[in-house]
Amino acid sequence: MKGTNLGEFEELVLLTVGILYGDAYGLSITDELTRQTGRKSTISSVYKVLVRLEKKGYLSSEMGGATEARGGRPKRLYQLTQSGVSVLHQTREIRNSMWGQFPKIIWEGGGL
Amino acid sequence: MSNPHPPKWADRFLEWFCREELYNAIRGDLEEVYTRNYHIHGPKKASWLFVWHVILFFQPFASKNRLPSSLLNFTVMFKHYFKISWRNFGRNKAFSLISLIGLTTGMIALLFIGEYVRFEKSYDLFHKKSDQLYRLRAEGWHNDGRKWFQGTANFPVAGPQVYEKVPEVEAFTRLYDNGAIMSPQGEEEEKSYKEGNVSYVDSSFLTLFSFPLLSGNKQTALREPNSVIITASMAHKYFGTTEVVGKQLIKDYDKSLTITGVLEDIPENSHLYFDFLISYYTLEEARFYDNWGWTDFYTYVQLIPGADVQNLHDQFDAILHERKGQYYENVQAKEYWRLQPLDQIHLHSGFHSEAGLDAQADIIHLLIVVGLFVMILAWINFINLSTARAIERGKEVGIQKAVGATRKQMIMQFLLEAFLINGMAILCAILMVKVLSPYFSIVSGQATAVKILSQSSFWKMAVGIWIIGSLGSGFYPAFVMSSFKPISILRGKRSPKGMFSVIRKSLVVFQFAIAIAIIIGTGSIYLQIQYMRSQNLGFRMDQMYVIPGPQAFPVDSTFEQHLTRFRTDLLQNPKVIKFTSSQSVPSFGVSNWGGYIRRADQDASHAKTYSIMSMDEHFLATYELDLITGRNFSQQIVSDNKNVIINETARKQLAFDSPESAIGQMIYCPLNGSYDGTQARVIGVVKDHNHYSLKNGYNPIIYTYSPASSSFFSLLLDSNELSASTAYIQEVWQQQFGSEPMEGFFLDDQFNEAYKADLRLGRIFAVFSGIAIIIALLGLFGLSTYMIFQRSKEISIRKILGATVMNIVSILSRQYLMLVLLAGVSAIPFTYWFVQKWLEGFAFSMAIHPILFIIPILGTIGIAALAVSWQTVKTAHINPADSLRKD
Repeated sequence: MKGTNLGEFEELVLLTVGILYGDAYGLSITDELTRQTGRKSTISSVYKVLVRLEKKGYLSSEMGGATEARGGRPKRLYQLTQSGVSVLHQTREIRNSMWGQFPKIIWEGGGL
Repeated sequence: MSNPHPPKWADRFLEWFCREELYNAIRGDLEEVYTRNYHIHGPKKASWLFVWHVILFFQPFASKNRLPSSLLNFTVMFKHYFKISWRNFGRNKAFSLISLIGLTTGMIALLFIGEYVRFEKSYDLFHKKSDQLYRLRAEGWHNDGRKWFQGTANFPVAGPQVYEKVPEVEAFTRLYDNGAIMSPQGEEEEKSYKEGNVSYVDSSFLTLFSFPLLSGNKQTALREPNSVIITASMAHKYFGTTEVVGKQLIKDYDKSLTITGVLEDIPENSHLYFDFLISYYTLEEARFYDNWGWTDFYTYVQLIPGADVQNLHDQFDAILHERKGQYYENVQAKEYWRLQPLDQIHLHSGFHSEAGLDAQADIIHLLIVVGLFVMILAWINFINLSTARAIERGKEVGIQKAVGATRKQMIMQFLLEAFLINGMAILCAILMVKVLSPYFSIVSGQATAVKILSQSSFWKMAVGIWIIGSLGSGFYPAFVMSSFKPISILRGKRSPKGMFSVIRKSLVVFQFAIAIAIIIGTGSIYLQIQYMRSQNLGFRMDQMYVIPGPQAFPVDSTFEQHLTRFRTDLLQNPKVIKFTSSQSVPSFGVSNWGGYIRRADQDASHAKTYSIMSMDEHFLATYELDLITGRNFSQQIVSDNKNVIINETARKQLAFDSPESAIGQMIYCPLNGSYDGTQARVIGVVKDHNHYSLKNGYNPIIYTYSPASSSFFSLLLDSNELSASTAYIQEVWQQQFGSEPMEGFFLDDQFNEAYKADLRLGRIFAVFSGIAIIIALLGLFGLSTYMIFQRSKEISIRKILGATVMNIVSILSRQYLMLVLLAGVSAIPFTYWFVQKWLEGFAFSMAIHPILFIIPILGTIGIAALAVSWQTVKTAHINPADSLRKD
């Protein structure tokens, strides 16, 4: 089970790739992450995770979408694989299940 | 292609290390980021961020597997070396600290000197055409080889003449310096200032030189008469803003000038300095255009690239000969126009009487040498302390070699240690430079030195010092220590000591010789300045308050009345004892006249150069110049305007046998500025005085009579304090000369200005001699401590056998003090030679006394004895039982 665990940053990157469906590449992912979470990350750290996630099989990539602004260079476009989607599901289920087990009293403030 | 580009080298680096399948994607992304940053932050920051991103990508996940396995091995070894070096550094904290402090101090000195020298050498190089620009100066020589005059300026006709007649001259500009009183027109507040840096220049000035204009057109701004360009700080001073083009300035209360441009303030490394540039055509009199003998006009020319200077000189000679050939025949002399490259003016000038200027380049070289020596002293400390510990580290080397280390690897290990400690030193030095730069700026007189760390040259130099220093100081110890043979070391044999210890001792001698030499140098500079100050200058300097006369005030018939009233009113105040007006005062220039001054009974070939100044009848009494024979000028004697008083040097130069025989003789001499064949009668001879400073000899001076000179007023006060009488003097001044600002000064302050350069040199030397002696002593202290520690058993045995503490102290100290004494003796010859060379630059120099050498040498031996004895006494008092029990 250990190999399939996702780190927090990895999870965020996977989610961002999902959101940017079809146009997820290094820079757009970095920008979107900043926009969504409000914290700054560098392109290199995002790439580092992308490479790792692709190795784990959660992402696949292909080249495409060269533009003038990039000096005519193609983007490496990422998309979620089947196992990528399922690992996100898994993570979410674990969280949901744990959230469900929270004693109600905490929400009412009585226990604190 | 005008598109902005990120730095190519960073891109190439990325391509080199980045995996192929990622490179294009990453490069594209970074290009997008670059373009975005370019628009937000501008090119500089965008490039910087690009480089930063590339560096961030330099990680295993993105790199090719191109590092060979031996490199991996190397990194492991490197880590090992590093660890050993670090431990070694920690194990001998005292020795390491001595090396570190010495190295840091030396590096600070060298870094500062390097920057100072770089700045001094950067003068005038900011002009885009600096390699084509020359100053055209004039000089004259008598046919018998004597100097007639030699200056940096030229005649007003020189520029136009060479421009017209010599095809290689592309452009010229004249520059005529003059003071002025400026006041802004149309400002509510009435204000006027005396300005000293006012220059009249031709309209080509701003196209020859690259002084940047903030506003105005550099082609046309100086074309019209009555145009003026001012610097930004002057614009602020007069108008409070730099938006001043089109406004008016009033010069000397009567001439209105239109501001046609504003210049950025003149950079510090420019030999030209001015606040106001007035168009040359503002000058109206014909003499500013057609004079062939008035050398007050700095002339700069732009030559075609690759012009042959020698050939041009020949053409200049032809121009001069055509016009003045007959005159040269008459006076038996010739004039020359000579080219001087712009970039040599600052350091290699010194044609004028500007004392000290010509020594500039020499002083700079001397500084480099002294700085390098101090650095070398510190490196020697490191070398000596490293090799002294060789015995201790021998075992380490032996074991390393026994388990397979090659000699090359051992050398690597020791070199790394040198790099490590030099690296730490350079970091400390950079930090200290940052802290000390404001003080350095004051000492060096360079305002820009405060921003020393922002100079790229500074960082290049720092890296250079680190690498060269590490290799230089690390190589010898590495060589020594890696040479040990494992077998002999591990068997317990001592290393081959003899030669190494001889080298070590000679290095100590070298260190102290240098340190002592610098101390002697410092001493001579101070003694010479002291000598010059204590000399009798031949005139009264104390309590002399000098006021430059009014500039804008018309010198006509009423001037004399104003001056007389000014004088009487001042003398009514008991604080003012004496008053005189004169054309010049000591330390200010006296005009030199050559060409025809001679005895009336001699022909033109006897003409020589003399200084001529006019004075009133109170000058001799006020300045306490002694009349040897004859009489003073008098207001009652009408013919005194055709009489002159000469000083002793002039008397000798005129070849009068004695002062008495000169009285009543006639000489050819210009009177009231007129040159044509006037004769004057000598009525008195005065003693010589030092008009400039003791760097120069006595001038031959001829005094003419002028009852009211407008140049300088000298007041002999009853004290050296001005505060009591200043209000009174101001008031009287205003009554007579109106609102013109009065700017007086005490003569001794002005006179001592001449020694400023020497004092600064002395101060710099004092700092260096301090540093040098401290570094040398630290080294000696470390070395002796270690050596004595090595001999502790020997000492104990000596004590057991009956040696007293005194015996032991003397045995231990003697050899080191002998080294210092040897150093002192060997320092004498070359220091003597240097000091003598330096003193030759002064017309009046002290005698070199043996004390100058004896005191520094004995003093150094004394301090060295203290440094050594601290450890010897301690060792001598150790109980023998303690040290012998150790193993």
